[in-house]
Amino acid sequence: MEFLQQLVNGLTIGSIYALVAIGFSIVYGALGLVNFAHGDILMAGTFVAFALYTSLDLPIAVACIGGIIAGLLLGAIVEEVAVRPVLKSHLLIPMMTTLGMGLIIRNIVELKYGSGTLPFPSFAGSGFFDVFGLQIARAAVVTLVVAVITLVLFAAFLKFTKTGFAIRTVAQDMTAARLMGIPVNRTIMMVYAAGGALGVIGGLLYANTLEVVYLGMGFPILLKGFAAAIVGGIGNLQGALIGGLILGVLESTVGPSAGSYRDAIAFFLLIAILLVRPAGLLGARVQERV
Amino acid sequence: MTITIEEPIFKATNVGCRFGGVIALDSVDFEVGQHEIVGLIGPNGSGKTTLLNVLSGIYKPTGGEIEIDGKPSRFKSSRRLSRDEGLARTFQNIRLCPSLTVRDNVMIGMHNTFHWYDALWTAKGGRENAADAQVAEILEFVGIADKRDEIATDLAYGDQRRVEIARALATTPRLLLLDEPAAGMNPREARVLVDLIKRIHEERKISIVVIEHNMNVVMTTASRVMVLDAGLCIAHGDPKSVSADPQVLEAYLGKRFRDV
Amino acid sequence: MLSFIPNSVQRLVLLALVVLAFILPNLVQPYTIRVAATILVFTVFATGLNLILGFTGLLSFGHAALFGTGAYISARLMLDTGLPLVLVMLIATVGAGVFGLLIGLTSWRVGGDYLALITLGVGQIFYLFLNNSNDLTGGATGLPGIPAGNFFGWDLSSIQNVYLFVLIVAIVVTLLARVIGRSYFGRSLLAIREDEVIARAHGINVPLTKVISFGVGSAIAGLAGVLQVLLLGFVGPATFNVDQSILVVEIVLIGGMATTAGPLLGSALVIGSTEYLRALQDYRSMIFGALIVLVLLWKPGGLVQILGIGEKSTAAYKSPFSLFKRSVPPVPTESEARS
Repeated sequence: MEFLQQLVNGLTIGSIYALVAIGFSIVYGALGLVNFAHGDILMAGTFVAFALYTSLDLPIAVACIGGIIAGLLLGAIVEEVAVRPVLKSHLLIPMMTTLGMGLIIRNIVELKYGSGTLPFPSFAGSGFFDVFGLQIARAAVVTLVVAVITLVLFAAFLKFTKTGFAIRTVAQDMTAARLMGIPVNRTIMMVYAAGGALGVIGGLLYANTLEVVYLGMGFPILLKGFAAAIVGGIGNLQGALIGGLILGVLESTVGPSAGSYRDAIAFFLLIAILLVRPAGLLGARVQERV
Repeated sequence: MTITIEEPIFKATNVGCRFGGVIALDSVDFEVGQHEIVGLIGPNGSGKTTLLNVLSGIYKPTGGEIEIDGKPSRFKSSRRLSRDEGLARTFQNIRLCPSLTVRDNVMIGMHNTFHWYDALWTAKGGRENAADAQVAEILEFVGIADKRDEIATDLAYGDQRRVEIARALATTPRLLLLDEPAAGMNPREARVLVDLIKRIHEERKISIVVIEHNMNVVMTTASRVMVLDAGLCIAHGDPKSVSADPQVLEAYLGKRFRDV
Repeated sequence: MLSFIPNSVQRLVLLALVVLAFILPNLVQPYTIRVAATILVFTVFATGLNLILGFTGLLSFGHAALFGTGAYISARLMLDTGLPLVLVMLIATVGAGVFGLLIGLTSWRVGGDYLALITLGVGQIFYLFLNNSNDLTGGATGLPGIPAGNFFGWDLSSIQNVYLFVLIVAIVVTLLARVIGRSYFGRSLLAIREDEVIARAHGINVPLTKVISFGVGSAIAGLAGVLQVLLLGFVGPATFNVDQSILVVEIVLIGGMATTAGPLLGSALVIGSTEYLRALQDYRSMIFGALIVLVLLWKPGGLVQILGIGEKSTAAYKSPFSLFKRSVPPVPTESEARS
């Protein structure tokens, strides 16, 4: 029973990691670039939702949508300012410029809210559901439901919409996509925007679960989302989902016995996976980038 | 069609290479003798570059055997082939280190002539200086001595090709693989290139394999031509007989033209 | 900007600057000397990272862990044993180098982007380790009261002497990095950064070279850690967290990747402005973030390229990254082709 309880907790936190990981993976899959601003974008988006709720007294749902839109915009801005102009240079350059953008975003949030921990209004409400003797927090249920809906919608977006098709085409072969008349630049911007929005949804769920929001929240989530993406096979969306869930479950089942090294689990899992399967669990499907 | 080479330095038998379901190279026999120029032609997608990539160790073949100097050998990595077997190559779409100078690009070819302690002494008397002189000599040889200190990718297309050839020569190879060296060159540049290939062959005693679509280049340099189509060798022989071979005409022009 | 100045004049100016650096302790307040020494410590630290990030193009976001390894090893040795400083430095440098080799070994099987995550993780775990293993590292309080060093009878208890010692080490390391960077080894690192297929096809052992560059870069960072201990007389975990790793990445990027003078210039700007422009404290990471973006978009050679100083003999070091070309034609790498 104890184990089942932890399993549920793990799946909850894991679905958050999965969202972040997918936001991360979509950018990597399309361009072969790591977006180092991802953690800061998701943190800033969460803060925007927080600000809309506390300062403007908007309903929490509206505030969250505002936060997600902020994530979209921030992703697009990062792409427009820092990635687009150097898209043709050495791979290292666009990665480092996103790092710089992340520093800027974080500093702006810090100027407004400082580096302390602020209480985040839980939109799920408190209380527990009692399912067959398992105590499941309302927040966990909301997290799981939102995460699943988001992932399904995002998969459908990639599969059925014109933009989703364009994203998949660009991921396969950017030059060919351009020759086929696909607006590559706009598509890449969409990729960063979608990544930012997914990240913010993850960030909101994280803040909702812990009921706090703080400046440094981006980094640990980024680290784990990054790890989840790699464990599953970076660039692979199903892989990111599986990686996130595995990571979450491991953290909540093995985590308590690891004491203060709890945060290191993600990392050891990562090393283990990379040594056995350098391409990640579903890595065989990763598109060869050219 | 069967031609036997006396003492081939490099002999591949039945090599094949496939990517997933795509058969890029079906089964090809290929050999290079001491001091000769082999032309490798064929329509686009016939497997020429794949064959070159397999021979130079960049792709791992899915089948076949290889003999180097008559001794059976396993397929080696491109690093070992370059270091131990004296094999050098150029690339179809020019690959130069974009931010390095011409000199440094060519110096990369000399990597194996350095010892670890040369990293700690680059002043006069070191290996670096001797290598510098060699670079100057090679650049002179390929005719771009004046471009020594320019960023390699700032050069004109034809000169970039020469930098690639110079870098390959810097490894002091005995077998040089050229992948479409005349691509994108005008007829005058191509003639200069033909001249360069002949000089490399004669003055440096290097065997050369050249893939080319420009028939002038192939026919004036190669002593032996092999034609690939759809991953198979369809003709093999001296340039004249190959260019008259009905199968070759068919591969290039289609069946209709065969009897014209 | 300054490239119109003839080489000979530049050399004279450089010589004058070195002389000035040596007589600095007689001219200024101890606070300034301390800042100058800090800048030099970070110059050494950044020189190590420059080898990994600037030359080989490997992402390392956990370099503070290597810096910390050197610092903690030397602190422990100086507290517990009476080993001469030379040996302490040697052990700490080698220790950090071995640790770096181990981290670099993971690059043997996986690509460079994964290394970013692995190093981030190593940095994080190292920080946890510093905070949690109280016996060895003193936990959150760190190890205070480290005795002053003594280099072959040269007493390093006064800040002036520490500064001079750090200066000498920084000069030696910078010269060493310059020689290595311009040797065949530096060239093969650049070749790996630019195009691994080329490097391999010309006989360069790519995985081994990457690991060695990681090891050497880490050893230099470890040496910087020793200098830090000599300067502060104290080590605590706060100096070795991820922010410090990012800081040194900033220094390398702003100063100029794959250049000799880059680490010094970057460190002077980043550390100097942190110390002297306290008013800008709140805007620090915004300014440096914007500087990184600006530098990389405009002059990827950093301050060295913007100022146009030195580095003339080889144009490669003038523009360390070509803005025009990404050299990844569609040939799968060896391991991909083989899998």
